[in-house]
Amino acid sequence: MYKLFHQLGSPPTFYRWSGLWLPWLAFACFALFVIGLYGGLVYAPADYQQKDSFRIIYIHVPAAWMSMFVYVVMAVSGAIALIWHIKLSEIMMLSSASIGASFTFIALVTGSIWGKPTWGTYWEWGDARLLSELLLLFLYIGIIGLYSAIEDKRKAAQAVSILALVGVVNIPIIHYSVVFVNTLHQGPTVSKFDAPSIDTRMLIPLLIMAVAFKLFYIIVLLLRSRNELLWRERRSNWVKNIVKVKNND
Amino acid sequence: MARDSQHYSQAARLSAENLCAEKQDRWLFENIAFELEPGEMLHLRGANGSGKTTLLRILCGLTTADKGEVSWGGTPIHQQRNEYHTQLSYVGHTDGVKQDLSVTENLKVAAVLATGKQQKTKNLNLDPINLDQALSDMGLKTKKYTFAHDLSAGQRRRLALTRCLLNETSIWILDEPLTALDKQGVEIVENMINAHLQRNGMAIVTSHQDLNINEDRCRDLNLS
Amino acid sequence: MNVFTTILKRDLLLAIRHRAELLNPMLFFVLVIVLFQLGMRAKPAVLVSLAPAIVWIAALLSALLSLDHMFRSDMEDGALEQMIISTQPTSLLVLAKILAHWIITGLPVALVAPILGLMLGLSFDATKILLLTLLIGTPILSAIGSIGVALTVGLRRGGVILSLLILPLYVPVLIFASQTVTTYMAGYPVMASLSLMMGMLVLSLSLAPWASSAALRMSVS
Repeated sequence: MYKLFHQLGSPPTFYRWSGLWLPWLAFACFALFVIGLYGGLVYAPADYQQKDSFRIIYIHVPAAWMSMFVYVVMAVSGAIALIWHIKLSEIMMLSSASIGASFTFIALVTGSIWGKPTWGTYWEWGDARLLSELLLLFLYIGIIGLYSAIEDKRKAAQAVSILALVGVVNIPIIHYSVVFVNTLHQGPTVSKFDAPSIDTRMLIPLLIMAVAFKLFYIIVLLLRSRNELLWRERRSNWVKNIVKVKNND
Repeated sequence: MARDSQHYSQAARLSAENLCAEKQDRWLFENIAFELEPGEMLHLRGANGSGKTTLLRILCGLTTADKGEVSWGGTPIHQQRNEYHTQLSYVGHTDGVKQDLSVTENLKVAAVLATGKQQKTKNLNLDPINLDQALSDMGLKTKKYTFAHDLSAGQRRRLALTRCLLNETSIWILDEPLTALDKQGVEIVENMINAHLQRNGMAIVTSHQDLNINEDRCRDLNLS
Repeated sequence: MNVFTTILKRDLLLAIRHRAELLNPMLFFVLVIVLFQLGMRAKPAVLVSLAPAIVWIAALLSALLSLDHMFRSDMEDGALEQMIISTQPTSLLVLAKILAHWIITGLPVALVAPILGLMLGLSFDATKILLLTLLIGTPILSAIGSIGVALTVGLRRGGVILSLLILPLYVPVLIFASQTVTTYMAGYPVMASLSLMMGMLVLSLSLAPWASSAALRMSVS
């Protein structure tokens, strides 16, 4: 297992392997987006209460899921980078930060747009999920800020790994505390996801979109990691060979 | 010195293999290798910015090399951090002296950090005989209760070096120990290192000045 | 344990020898609260309902203000390097420094808070609960804060980024503490939320030193 890890973690192997997979992933992602969006915007019936405005969940919900998922990925790869000093894992963590921040931002914006027809206001302090997302965005910004503030990038990567781990311990606590304050004072909030049962015709496009978002993340992650890898290894032979081949083309 | 007769029981060979350090897209140094036997001193030389301090910090285990390894007694130091650090004294280019503590208080804290136990005396955590001896060796006898901020720069430097004597470590890593020292101070340090080597200790020292050290025991390493 | 007490005593001694700085966090705390009321000019009834949050936000800010001291001077004079290459576990040293930081900054703030609580119109009993939340909560601020300082102590200007890193992590303490007081004022039992805060204290004191010592090793390297 460890051996496999190490082999996949070796930069040239990763570069070749990811290069082979990228076109297929891109194709699958595009196809799923088309199907999911068609399903969500056309095929799924309108909500009996919210009419068509609910359709924003096909962006909002997958983005919100991804915002948490990416943070966990960062923390895990940060831990791997700290313990086994695997360079690739470090790069994956760093490349994830701004992708995760973007997902969080999208989730926030779509959530607030959706809030207008639903709650009658763009921002509802009573909604624990929205507040958690906002704090998550700050955690992401903190990570990006810390990385850019430390000049020695090797140290910066270590710092970010530690911070990501601290953050991942804190996220559930933050979320729980926000829920705590809201249930205490405003009664149970109108939660968007606790709908007793969701129509299968609404659910399937949502799941397809979720997979599409995940693929999109993987694609962007691979692209960014490959870039970062080439830059970091620019003096090694395998990178020089790639550049040579490209130039000859 | 009182401890001349004693030998360090835990002295072992220190070796570096293929050490490389990177700084902003270029190698600060590459492929540094040496072996240091007990009783020997390594004099690191090199222009400003050649990576002397970085190398010393790697040897201390404060920072890691981009490539290569430091071993002590045949085992990499990062696998035996604690054992290694019990034998190590480091005086960096900052003294590690708290300005608002007295000379004795400073040494007390250093001793506890080095050994973890406080020796049983009323006010001092240090064996008072050892402390007096070390202070007089370093020419600080009259400064025992002086605040560090009232010392001159040279005296503070000597206070930092006193840590090496008190903690009875066999590996001394000294970054420009002669900074701010007068002629007499330089002599004190030379004597101190010579006695240390005689006791089978090891020292790794950077210095722009030549040190008057027994030639059989001193080796040079140039970082260019 | 000797190392723990030695470092604790050392930090307290250093703080006492800088008596002027010793008062700063507390004065800042008082000042922020006064400014709040001057800015709001709130009616007494409104003020009472805001009091727990105001006191806690002031405590948060004063903790943030004083955090940088925790490792900065040790970094500058090389004492931190000596701690890291010492034979003692760095996390134990960090724990001692967290405790020292709390005694120097958090404790005075907690002790002066009841007076301000009364000035803001809290009842005597509510003030007691406020004091209790501060006594449990301010060590958490020092503990979590130590991670942020350890991460940024190598930076020349770490202040802004420090608050960005730390404040989101302070949110649970802020919420639980001020809600505990508010709940009490509304006449509900607060044992549960006080125990939750105790849990957070234990968790932060046991985990933060590890994270901080890893971060310090990074900062010093």
